[in-house]
Amino acid sequence: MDKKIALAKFSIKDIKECLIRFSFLSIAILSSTIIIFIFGFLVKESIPAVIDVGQNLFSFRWSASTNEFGLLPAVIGTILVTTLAMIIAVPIGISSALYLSEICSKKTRNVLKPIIEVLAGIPSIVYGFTGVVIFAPQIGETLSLKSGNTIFTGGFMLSIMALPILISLADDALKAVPNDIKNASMALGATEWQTMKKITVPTAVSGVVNAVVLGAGRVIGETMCVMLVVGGIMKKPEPIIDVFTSGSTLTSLIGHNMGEAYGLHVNVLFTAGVILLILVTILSLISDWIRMHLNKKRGMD
Amino acid sequence: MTKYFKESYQNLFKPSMKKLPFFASVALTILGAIFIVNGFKNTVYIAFLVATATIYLIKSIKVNDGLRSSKKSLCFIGFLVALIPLPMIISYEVEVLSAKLSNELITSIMLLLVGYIGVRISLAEEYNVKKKISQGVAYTLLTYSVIGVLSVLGLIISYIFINGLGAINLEFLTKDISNMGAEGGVFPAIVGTILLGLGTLFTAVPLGVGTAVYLNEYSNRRSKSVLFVRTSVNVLYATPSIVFGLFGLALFVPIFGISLITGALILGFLVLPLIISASEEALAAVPQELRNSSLALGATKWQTIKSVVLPAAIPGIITSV
Repeated sequence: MDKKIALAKFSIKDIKECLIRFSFLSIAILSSTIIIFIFGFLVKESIPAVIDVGQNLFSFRWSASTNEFGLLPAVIGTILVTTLAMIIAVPIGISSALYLSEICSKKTRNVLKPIIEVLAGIPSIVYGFTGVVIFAPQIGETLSLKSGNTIFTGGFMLSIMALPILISLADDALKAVPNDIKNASMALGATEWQTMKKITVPTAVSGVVNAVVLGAGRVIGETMCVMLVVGGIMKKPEPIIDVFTSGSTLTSLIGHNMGEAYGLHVNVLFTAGVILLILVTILSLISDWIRMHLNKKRGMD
Repeated sequence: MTKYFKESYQNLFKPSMKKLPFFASVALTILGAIFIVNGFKNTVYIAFLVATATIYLIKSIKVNDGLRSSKKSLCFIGFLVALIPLPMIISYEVEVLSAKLSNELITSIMLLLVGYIGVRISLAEEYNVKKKISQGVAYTLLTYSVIGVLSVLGLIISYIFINGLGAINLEFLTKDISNMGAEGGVFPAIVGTILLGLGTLFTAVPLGVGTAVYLNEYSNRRSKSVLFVRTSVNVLYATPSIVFGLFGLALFVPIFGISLITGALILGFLVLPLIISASEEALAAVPQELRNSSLALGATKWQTIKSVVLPAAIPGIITSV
């Protein structure tokens, strides 16, 4: 008799526990399906564009008034801006991270690290505004351009924006290199710089690459800042890597056009969103893969 | 490492007559940077080149120790003299893609390079140990990269503050917009921002903390479901805000219209990954002993989470929020 009551009590408790566990599981699944919802709705909205415009989506002609929607200029613009931003930001970012993690004193580090982390939180519109007011005219004047609002200016501003996050992540990666191997290198007679070049950076390389990939993800999706400084013109750059003309990125295209678009135009912009999301997803998966690889390597050590 | 760096750095910049070529080369580099930003001046350019060449000439006449290094110096002097007519030789504009590089800009960039070469040569005469020179130069460059980053970011922030602070006063903060935004204040915008922030928290916190509890307390770290949740949350983290905007336009605007609720929901999804990762860290920081002792007292898993783990983790979670 006693046993039965105990059993019954236990099972009620058990059911409650089970329910709670299940509700937490469903919350977790809900938050992870948001991204699938986003994909689904974007694709749903872009289907009319794919059906109506078809292959012409991948051409260089863009004219909303005559229903010509070629997205390639924006795709090229996005790739150019991101590459440029990374070319500028990666060397400077990694050398700054090296300075922070290896060279400067603990005191300096304790001051600089929080400052850089705060800088990562500055809204992008602030960068865009200063880009328009200070940097675009300066770049236009120095390079004798017709307008300072170019793909190059976009890449330059984005490199400034990406620097804090890049520095902070690369610094974490460099800091994680064990001191023992550095000391071993120094004991063999290498200078600090040789140790850094030959030991610290190669050991931390997957972490640093992860920082670069995450930074690139940030740069691709950046909207406000790019919209203000990139010029917003949809045309094929001549030659294709001409970064000193006004151009467009996928984000700036959506931002510029969404307000006044209707009908097919809107669907085309959703297609641009899908392309953007695919690019970002690929980068995110690469960074996940690198992180898993990293954890495995550390686990084996 | 730090101590050695300070020593080599101070040695590098300790003023002495012997170091004149080094300082002249550094001055050339700085001059190149100033020319790029502020415009080119031919007289200054020629004066600096001639002065540097003279300094190197005196130095190489005075020092007769190693033929090799003085040969290098002589080559460098010849190079400097050859650079003097450079702005006149290059045709006015060189086109690179759409940009037109004026002869002056090219000359300024050349100055940067020449200054760097000069630094290497002068240091080679000074130290005669190659790896020490590399270290000195490398450390200097690394330091200046940090200074450069911080000064550009400082420029941006100070520009905003200097131009923005003047407009802020009590009236501006508390008045309604009038005359189509040309007059009045930003009070409605401030209230809207606060409401939006609260709405965002109401969306993101339950979802985020719930997911973190599941990931940290209920699930096996290596299971497939955790991998799935983590991957999708990472993709969500990388998703650009404009894509969230499009999503909101497609899903919520037809339901709620363009309103604060729509904004709050979308922003909630936007900050969800951040809240998940921060709460997860906070939960992971709760010591395992607390959980074990609570379970040992006969509490169920949920009771443990509710009355032991969450209260211990709440400070961390609130900070993240």
